[in-house]
Amino acid sequence: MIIIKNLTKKFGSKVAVDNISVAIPEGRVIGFLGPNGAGKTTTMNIILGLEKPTAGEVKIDGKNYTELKDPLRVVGAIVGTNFHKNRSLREHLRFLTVVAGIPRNRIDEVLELTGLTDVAKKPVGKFSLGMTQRAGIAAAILGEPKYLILDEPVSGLDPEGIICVREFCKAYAAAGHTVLISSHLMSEVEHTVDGAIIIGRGKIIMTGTLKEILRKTETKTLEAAFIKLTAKEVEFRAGELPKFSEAEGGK
Amino acid sequence: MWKLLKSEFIKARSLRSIRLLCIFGILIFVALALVSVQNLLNAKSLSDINTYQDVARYHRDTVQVLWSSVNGAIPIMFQIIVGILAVLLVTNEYVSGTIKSSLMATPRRFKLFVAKLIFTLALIATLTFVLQILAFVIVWCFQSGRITEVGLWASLTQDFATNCLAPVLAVTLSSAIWFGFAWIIRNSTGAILLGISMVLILTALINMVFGWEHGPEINNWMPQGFFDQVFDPSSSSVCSITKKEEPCSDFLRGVIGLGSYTILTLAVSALIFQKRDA
Repeated sequence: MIIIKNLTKKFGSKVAVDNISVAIPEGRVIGFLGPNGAGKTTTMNIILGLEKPTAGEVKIDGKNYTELKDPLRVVGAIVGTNFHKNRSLREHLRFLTVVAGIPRNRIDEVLELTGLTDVAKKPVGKFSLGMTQRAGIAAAILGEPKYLILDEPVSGLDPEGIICVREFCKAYAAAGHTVLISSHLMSEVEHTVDGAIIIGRGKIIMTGTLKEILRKTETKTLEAAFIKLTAKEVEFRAGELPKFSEAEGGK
Repeated sequence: MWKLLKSEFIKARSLRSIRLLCIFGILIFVALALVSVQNLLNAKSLSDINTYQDVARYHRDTVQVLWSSVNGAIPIMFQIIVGILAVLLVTNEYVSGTIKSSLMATPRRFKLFVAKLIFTLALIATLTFVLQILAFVIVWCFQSGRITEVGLWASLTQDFATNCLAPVLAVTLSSAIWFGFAWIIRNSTGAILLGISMVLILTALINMVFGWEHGPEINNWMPQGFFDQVFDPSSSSVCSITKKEEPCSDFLRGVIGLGSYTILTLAVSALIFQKRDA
């Protein structure tokens, strides 16, 4: 189980994550939801040891990420772009297998699983967005990790790509793994997750299963619940859009 | 550690920019070496070339004849090229975001830092050593007859191994400083500019500020001054500064000085890498 305890992260005077504590249950797909700047990516980076917390800790099966003996076999992740555009996917996966001591034939397995076998020798920079996201998934599941952390995995994907990621997450959790997924697409997340952690301005606003969240917020969809919960937490709000009639000069 | 070194090799060989830079370094070296040989061939007599006088005086080997004969162009050019190589091996990871993959696979940062350092310096030392051999072969092909004429040949080949390693050591230590700059700045342009400033601009700046009376003396304590002492202890410039007839004591001084700068830069960069968010 991943346990986040009194986690705080400050960047100068700005508090990105404000004393959050939560336990992420195993064998489920959990949504990590919040508006822009809520602290989702920062929290994920801290879980993965990429950023250091100002206070608090994150334990993965009782250990910090940096203490894990074979981290890629415990946690797999997509956090932003982490491919060199001129390096082929196969070479990227190769260096990961060498470090983690993963058998070389696993590369062919994950390429087959993500449907990237034919393009594995091409530079990742020539991939479409959907292919890059699938490449990220291939790298994340290379070590068959117990936990999968996906930061905005469906961002920019076409409907087919979104469905692909959704089905993958469900199947991965069904196999007894845990998937933590952050996304802005509430309608999509609603079809994917079993439960959600909703965060705003660095603080946890609500956690629970989908049913619990809908019941507590007295809403019918996760999107409505999210908007209701985060109404006061949005840091940068767009101005009200002009109506069509006004925009067209009252015609 | 072996796994990490192997993964660093895979990362380096799979990038076209690194491969091209290595090839570019070799081509530049060979081109300048041929220019150097041409200069030697055009000389009317051996006494026209200062470096030959140095050879005669200090019994240095043919490799240093070549390296010195184009007034330091090869050492500086080559130092910059391998410095850029050291920088790119680090900053490529930050620019592309691959550093996140590397850190997720190797969360113990010091281990990753050491592995990358060992790989980078081993690559640069090997490259420099191979090119030194190439330089020797070039000189041997074009100049063996003339060197034999003045009876230097025996002494030239005698200390080849030792004298070949001095430039390798100098280039490797200097590259380690560039490597440190790359971790501190995390930006290719910034780190390369800092490296070039250390090699070229700092020397000129000190000479401008302190004049020719004190400038060379101060530069003698700067990284590039120590580099020169390690790279070519028999060079006339170093000897004239130190007012010594025999050059060998400057080599040790250079190693300690350049080594100190290297250790300081690496320590600072390792500390920053440990503390800073990816």
